[in-house]
Amino acid sequence: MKRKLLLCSLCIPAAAAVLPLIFLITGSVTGNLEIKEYLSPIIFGGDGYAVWRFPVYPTFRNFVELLLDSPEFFQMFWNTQKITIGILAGQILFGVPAAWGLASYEFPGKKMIYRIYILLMMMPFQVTMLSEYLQLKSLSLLDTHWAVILPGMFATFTPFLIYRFFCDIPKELLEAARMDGAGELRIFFSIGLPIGSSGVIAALLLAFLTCQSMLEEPLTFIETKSRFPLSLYLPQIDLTQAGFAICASFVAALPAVILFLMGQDYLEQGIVAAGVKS
Amino acid sequence: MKENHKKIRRMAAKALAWFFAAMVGLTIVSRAAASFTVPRVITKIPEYQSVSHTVYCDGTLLAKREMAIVAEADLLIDTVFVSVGQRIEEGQTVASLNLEDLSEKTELLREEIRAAEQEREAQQTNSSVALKRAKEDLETASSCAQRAVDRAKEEAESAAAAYQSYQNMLGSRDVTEEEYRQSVALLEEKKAKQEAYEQAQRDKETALRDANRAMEDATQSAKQSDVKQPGAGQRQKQLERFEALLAAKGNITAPTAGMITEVIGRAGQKTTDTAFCMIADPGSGLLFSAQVSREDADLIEIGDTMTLTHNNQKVEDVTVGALKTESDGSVTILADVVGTDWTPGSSAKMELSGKPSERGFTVPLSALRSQDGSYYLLVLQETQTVLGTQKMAVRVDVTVQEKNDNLALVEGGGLSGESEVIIDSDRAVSNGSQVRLWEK
Repeated sequence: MKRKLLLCSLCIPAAAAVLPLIFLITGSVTGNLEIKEYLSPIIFGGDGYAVWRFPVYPTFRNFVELLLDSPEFFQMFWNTQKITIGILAGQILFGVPAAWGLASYEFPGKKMIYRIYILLMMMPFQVTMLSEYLQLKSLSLLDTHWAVILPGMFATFTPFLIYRFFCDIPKELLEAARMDGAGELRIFFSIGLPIGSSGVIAALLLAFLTCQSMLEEPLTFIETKSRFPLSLYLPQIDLTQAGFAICASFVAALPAVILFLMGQDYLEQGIVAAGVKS
Repeated sequence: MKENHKKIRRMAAKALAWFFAAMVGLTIVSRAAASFTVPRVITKIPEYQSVSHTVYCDGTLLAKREMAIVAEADLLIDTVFVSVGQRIEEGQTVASLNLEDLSEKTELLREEIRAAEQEREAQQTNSSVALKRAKEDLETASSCAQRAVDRAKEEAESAAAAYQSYQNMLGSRDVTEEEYRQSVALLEEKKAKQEAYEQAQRDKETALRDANRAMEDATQSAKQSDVKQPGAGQRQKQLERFEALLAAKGNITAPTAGMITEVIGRAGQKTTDTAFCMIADPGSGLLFSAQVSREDADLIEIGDTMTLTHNNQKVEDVTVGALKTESDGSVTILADVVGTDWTPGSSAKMELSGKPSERGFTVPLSALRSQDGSYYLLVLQETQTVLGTQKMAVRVDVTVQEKNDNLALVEGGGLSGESEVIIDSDRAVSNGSQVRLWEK
């Protein structure tokens, strides 16, 4: 009984959490006229409150318009994927070894570096924006995708998350491997990565979700419209084309949803690991 | 549970792969669809030059002098030997008449003339006889009337004398009734004879008057019979012409050398009282005549020079001699053409260039667009869009200074020698439209 009561009480916030997704799905098949009618207080500043209903006359017109008649959407979609893949590749290349080094080795200044990592992780983008801008300008990387990829490659959150997983690997196992003659690289690739893979995947998943919705860095460092990611395209859609905008959001959210389904287990572990105090 | 999660992971992986594959395909499809809808345009850079007005039209070459070849009316034409445009010599036969018909008409005319002459002679004879008789009647009437007057006078004098003598006999004594009656009777006799005498005189006047009138009528009639009937002279001349035609065996010849410009008579038809054909004298010179619209005529002045082209031959510097406005508003241009051997009646093309305007940026007329009475151009401009550098049509308002059939001289809008003006497109283009260059 208690369990049922608990379940029912949790359903309400769960439903509230799912509502945006339902809004997205139903809105993508609702015609523009119906959406204008439901959202007229928002779009046209009318009296009353905006309402939301299931579409009376569902239509795939928005999908057709988006997927067949909007090359700008695809331009920005692939820009987003390019940035995402670049950042993830960089984090795999630099972040994972950095986390392994922090977790597995003792060296002078290790605690200082770790605290700097924590500090940098807590700083909002606006704090480091100017220094990054000046650095990128001196490297002539402004208005290129590298201006977003390079800082993302060396983001601190991913190594921090992976570090938590690498910390859980028993030191004795590593010592035993060393005693058996395994080199450090061998230990990293044969012991560290397999055991910490869940953490790595979780971190990369979270990084992927972050890259898909990245807004501030592209807005600051990229000027040419043809290099904008999808996160900058969606706000430009006119409110009078709300149906089209919702459909675009739905399609843009699909990769994240699919990846979530793929890495759900790893994500849960990652979120838990991120919440555990060191 | 773990198996379920694995299954979900596998399906999600497949779904992700299919999603990205679909996105790749849809990227290509959307690009292709966009390329179909984007208008393709042809552009041209404005040229810095002046606009000249050239009037082109076709006209006719006319001979300055034309003569008519006439033939007698109502004669049957056997053969026509000439056609329009043919050059002939003086005396050359242009047509032949039917001899039989000509002979018949000639004979008919002769008979008419003869009959008229006979009638006139008969009339003359009758008139002279009538005059002679009228003279005789006058003389007779005069002598008879005089005798009657004389006789009446004698009687009146006799009766007066008898009365007077009776009165003398009676004297102043008293008369008897018998004597009184006798006296009255003599008096009445005297009065009657006097009246008879006066009547005789009146009768004489009347008789003489009537006889004189008859005489005058007879004289007048005699005079009229001497005058010939109207038309007799014309018939005589016509007869002479017919006889001349007969002598020429029915051939109609050209009185002068020249070129046939019009043939009115046809074989098998009868001649009329108008010209049989028209002959032009090429040596008299040619006149070029062409009709242009009112708008084109406003660009032409007397004294302007033109170039005429006929049969691939050109004659330049032909001066406009006259401009004549017609009733329908068009204007006829006339110009003397000298120094050519062109044929009257043939056509020629005229090319006349008016005074050029001032120099400025010119665009083809196809580039000029109008809205609400004002003109504008669509100029190509590169803009940065999400899809990269793209070309867009941007409206530029201009003022048209001058224009002819091909070009317009425009001002304003910041036009330069580097502006690319859209002159043609494969679909409608408006301000702000995305476009791309069309390679035809």
